[in-house]
Amino acid sequence: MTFPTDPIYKLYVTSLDGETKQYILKSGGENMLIYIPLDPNNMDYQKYLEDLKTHGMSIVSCDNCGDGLPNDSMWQYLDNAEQLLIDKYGSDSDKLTTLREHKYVRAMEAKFPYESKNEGFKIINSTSEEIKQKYRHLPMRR
Amino acid sequence: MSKIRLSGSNSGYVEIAAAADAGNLTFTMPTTGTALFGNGNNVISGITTYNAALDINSSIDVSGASVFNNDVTFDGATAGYDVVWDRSDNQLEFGDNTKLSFGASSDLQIFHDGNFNKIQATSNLLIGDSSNNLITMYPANGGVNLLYTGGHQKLATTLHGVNITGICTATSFSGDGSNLTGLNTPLSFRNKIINGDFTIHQRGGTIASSSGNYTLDRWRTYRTGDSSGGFSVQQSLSSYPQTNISGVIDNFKASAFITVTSAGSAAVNNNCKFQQRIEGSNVYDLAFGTAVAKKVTVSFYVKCSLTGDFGVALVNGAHNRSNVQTYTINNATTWERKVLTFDGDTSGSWEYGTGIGLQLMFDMGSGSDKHTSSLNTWVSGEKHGTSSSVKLIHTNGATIQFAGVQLESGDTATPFEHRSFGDELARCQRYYELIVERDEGSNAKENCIGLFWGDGSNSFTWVKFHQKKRTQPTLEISNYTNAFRFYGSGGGVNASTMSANTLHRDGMLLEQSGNAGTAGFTRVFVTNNGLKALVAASAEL
Repeated sequence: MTFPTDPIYKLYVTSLDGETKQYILKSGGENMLIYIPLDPNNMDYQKYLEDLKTHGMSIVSCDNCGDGLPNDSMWQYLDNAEQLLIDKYGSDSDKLTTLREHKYVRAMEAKFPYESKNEGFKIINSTSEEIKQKYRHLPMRR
Repeated sequence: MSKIRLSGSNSGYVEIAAAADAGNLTFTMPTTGTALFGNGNNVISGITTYNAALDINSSIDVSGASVFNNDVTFDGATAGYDVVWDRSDNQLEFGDNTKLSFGASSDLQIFHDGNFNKIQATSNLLIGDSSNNLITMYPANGGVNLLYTGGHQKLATTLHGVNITGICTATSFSGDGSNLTGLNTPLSFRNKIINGDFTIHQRGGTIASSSGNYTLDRWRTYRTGDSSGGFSVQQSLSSYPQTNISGVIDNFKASAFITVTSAGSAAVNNNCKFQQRIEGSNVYDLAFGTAVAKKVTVSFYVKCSLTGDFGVALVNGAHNRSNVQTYTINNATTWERKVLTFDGDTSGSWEYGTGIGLQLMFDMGSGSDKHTSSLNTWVSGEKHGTSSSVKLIHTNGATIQFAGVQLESGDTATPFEHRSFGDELARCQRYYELIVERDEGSNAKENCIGLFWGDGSNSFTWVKFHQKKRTQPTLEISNYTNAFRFYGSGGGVNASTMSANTLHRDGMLLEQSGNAGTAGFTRVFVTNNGLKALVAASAEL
């Protein structure tokens, strides 16, 4: 396993008997690897979230989107999230629509990682009219 | 003859002598004037000496002080019930059942009945001085017997047992204590600090501080800021407090040894501390954040290369409630015991679950952002120092040691609660468990991790934790080829990539890929000979 150093976190996917699991991988120094579970009570996971807030998604890399559904690993907010999904499930997958809807709602609600208007409107402006119509009940992002 | 005067000369004497058969010799005394014998009451003036026994068959009336130069017996009506002043024994001796009796109705009697020594009173018996009672006894059934100190009742015996007011100190207690209630300081797990004696150090070695890392078990460093310097923490097994040191009341065998490795300087955002985060489920009884919040007492031993006032604080998990106090190190490089009592916080948000319930922070020299001038008062934000408290981090090479850290409910510091090594290790393993570790170059036999089962492409093993973790743990595992090795059919095979497949609070499923071996075979999974290998699970706070 390659040590993640830059970015410092790598999302890792594994499975057993059809069940997919995702962990956050980090270098522990001295040839150590750290596998962090997506548990909100785990302090390493909390630190991961803090680091994302401080440094943005650029500190994370991912080459496997797992089951393709948005989850607490935050893979869905990576710049290459759609490409990961397309590579694994194809461009006509419902998962792609689910991903785009998820990001649009987060952007409209100014939630992580779209708290800033700049980041929020990048997503909003690139979202299809079909999705915007579906979520037209949402308050306007200001 | 109306008057006769007998007088002798200087060389003679006057004698009135009667022959044995002469009948009575009678003196009839005058009523006035100086007389040897008075009239009627036979008053004798001056010292009268009798050289033989004096037998008086009627009462005597003595107005002056009397001296008896030999034994005196007060003869009781019943044979043997006598009182004797025994001159040779220098004591007044009461025979059996001869009583010393007080009161018009013999209200108080003291005697020996032949078998037992008795003090009997028909009403309340009070012992003390003219102002205060020391002991009060009420003989009637159901009465309460009381013992006082300084006029304050401290002990009362009743039909139901004994009531003690104040601190009860004993060298030992017996009984199961099953009905003990309302104790401010519980008999066990008084100390809410885990590894307060610093005997557990699973990670080992000297560990540099960072922005939140663990050193000795359960003890965390935190160091951030524009000029926060650096410090390291190690376990000292050669310097610790013992009772032959003045002021030390407990014996230890370890301490946390902190060394400033690079000096910081004053910066408002410096945040440097050595701390323990206590799980909420272990401090719920303190009831912080409610009207019934309890006081907390922190006691510890400290030895430092610097002297002065140092900051220490209690902080909530959200870092928005703090109570800062200072402790004074009077003498450099000398173990000193410190005791600080904190009021409970009746407001604020406090965690009682598996998150951070309470934090004990020893300030290492934080900046003004972490300072407060309101000591022993709950304030907003995270504070753990004062503007004048010693900034250890500013002195390169400065050292500070801690031992016997105890945090307990109530306003009294009890002696350090020594728990067994196994018990303390188990408590630590709820937060960090070293599954296996092998130092590089070690010639010891391989450490067995478990049995791996191969499916032809990957292989798996389930590692059961000794202690259920606080939360899903983080897996820490050595990551290089040949760190681990399998033994089974066909001999040994080095493992390649090790990873986490499943992380549970009870255990974890480790996955190995690269050298899976034959499908269906079970293999023993061990650390490789001579190489460093480590597997650990962390659920720290």
